[in-house]
Amino acid sequence: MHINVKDVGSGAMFLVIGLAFTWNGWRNLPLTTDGAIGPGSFPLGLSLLLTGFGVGLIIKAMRTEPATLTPISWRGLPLIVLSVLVFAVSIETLGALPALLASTFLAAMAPREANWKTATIVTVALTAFCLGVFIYALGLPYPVIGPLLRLP
Amino acid sequence: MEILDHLILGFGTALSPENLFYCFVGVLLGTFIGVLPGLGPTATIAMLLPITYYLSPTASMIMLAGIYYGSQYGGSTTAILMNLPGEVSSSVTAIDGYQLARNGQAGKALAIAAIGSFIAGTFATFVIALAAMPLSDIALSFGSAEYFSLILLGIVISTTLAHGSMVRGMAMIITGMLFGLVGTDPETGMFRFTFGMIQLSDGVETVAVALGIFGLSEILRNLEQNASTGNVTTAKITSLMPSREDLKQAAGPIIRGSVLGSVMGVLPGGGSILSAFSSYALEKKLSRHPERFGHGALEGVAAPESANNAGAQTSFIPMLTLGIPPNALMALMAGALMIQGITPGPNVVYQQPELFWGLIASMWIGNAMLVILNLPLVGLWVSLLKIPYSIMLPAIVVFSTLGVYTVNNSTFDLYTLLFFGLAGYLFRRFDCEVAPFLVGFVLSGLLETHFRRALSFSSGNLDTFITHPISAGILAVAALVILLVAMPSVRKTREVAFADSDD
Repeated sequence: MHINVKDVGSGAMFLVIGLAFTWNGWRNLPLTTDGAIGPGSFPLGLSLLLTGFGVGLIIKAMRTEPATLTPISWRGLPLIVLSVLVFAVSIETLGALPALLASTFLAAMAPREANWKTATIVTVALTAFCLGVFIYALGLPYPVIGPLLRLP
Repeated sequence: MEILDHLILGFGTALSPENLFYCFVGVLLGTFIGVLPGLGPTATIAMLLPITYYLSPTASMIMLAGIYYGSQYGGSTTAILMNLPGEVSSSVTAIDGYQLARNGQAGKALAIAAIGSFIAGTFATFVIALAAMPLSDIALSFGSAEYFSLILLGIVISTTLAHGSMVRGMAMIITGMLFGLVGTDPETGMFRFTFGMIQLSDGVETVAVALGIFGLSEILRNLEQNASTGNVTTAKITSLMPSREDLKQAAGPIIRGSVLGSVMGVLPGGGSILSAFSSYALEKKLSRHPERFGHGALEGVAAPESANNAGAQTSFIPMLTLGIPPNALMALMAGALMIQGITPGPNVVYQQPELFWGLIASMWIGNAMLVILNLPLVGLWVSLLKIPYSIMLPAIVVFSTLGVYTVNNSTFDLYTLLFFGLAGYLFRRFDCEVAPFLVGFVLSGLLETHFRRALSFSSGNLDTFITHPISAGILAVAALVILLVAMPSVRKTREVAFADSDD
């Protein structure tokens, strides 16, 4: 059987989100409070509608032409995710300078044609620019070198 | 004349050195990202939102607005010279513009595009100035029932007019609306959909959502393809001056494009993209020689370029006067106002007259700057395309990350950014446009509040939306739109109209 991946994929996403909100809302939120419309009704209407759309798209997928997806970049995707994660973990502990250096370098290595040399140059330039704009010009109170790296 | 006083106040504000500077920065940045494919005005504005916190409200609005209409100018330059539309709205311009360029008439096409944009920008500035006060007054007399119906109409129209699949568009709006409801319920104080995370009690951070769903997801999408900007051939620019005959030929399309673009810009889901497409179709229909279109018709450049600029500007009207952003970009502009503690809506014109009229006047000044920036400096902009994506990409990632963090100094917002970046990437892979998501995200709180307020006034009677005549009228229009779109003939036309618009 030919199935349209794009229809199934989007349908499944809408279905999952719709069900998650339906389930969470139904368990926690009253539909009415003191006779007036409560915090649960409006979202319940929306989440049921979304679940319906999800089911509809999955059914539609059985009847439409199959579609092909472009391949995921297995080099770029993890590097970008890592770049944001590393920044999140290190900004408050290691400080702005190491956080920016690490996350910029990871992002700079993400494109297929990236190489060590240009990535390093880009990293240094961008880090200097960000420190200049955000810390010195805008005066944001982030330590350039964080508490974990400071000598006692 | 009241309007004259307003314009004097506006120009007085916009001509202050500070505002003039940020207007220039805005249009310069706008042209820059307009030229570069892969970085749109919405993502750029999302990236700059955290910085606007440090500017005055007026300066930040002037700068962000400049980015939007500036990108319309920049997008046309590369569309004409290289058949490489920097923005979706310039992809129509590329059809005939590039043909003109190949025939050695690149200068003429560029000049007509700039002149058309400037005339349209001037026209749209006056439309906003004239329409703002009356619309705000009407909006102030609206009750919750009318507001609810109006927002609903906006949502209906924006799904039917936006390009891409309508079912997906509607589902994306609803998804956005659900995430927009996360946080504390304003009426009862209950936590909704926080899934045990205390950081979500104030709702999901708009900047993180916008940058994730627009910026990060776009980057992940671009990484899939080979970055290839290497072998584009640039047409030579000869004389920039159009002849008197060219001007005569372009005058009609420019005027029609300005008017049509202004109307389309106000519609929900409209803005520059829809304006450009519909005005191109109109000119082709009106032309005595429709076969020339696609082979270098000057009208095919003049009309869409005028229309996209007019539409970009008039899409400010519903956001500023009604408080209802008609598209994702305006949703972010509304966010920029809220960061400054100003609620977008009919009160802006009365409580912030300097901001309001200053912004409008700055649009005209910005348009004048753009003509100067674009025509003599055209060579400079074209050389920008030599910047490899491998430099652009880390810059976008780091500005987004750092920008999101600066909003609340919260690492939780960074995980939000990542979550919506990955979700947006999946949605894009499955052909779901992400713009409706952001519209739903911003509108849902407003829609629910008015829904509940209207019902509490009517003690729970749902017919309150029909017994109020204005509300009933608006709902009737919404029903009509749905009926129209369901008609097979209209549906076919819609599919044809958006056939070229998939980027």
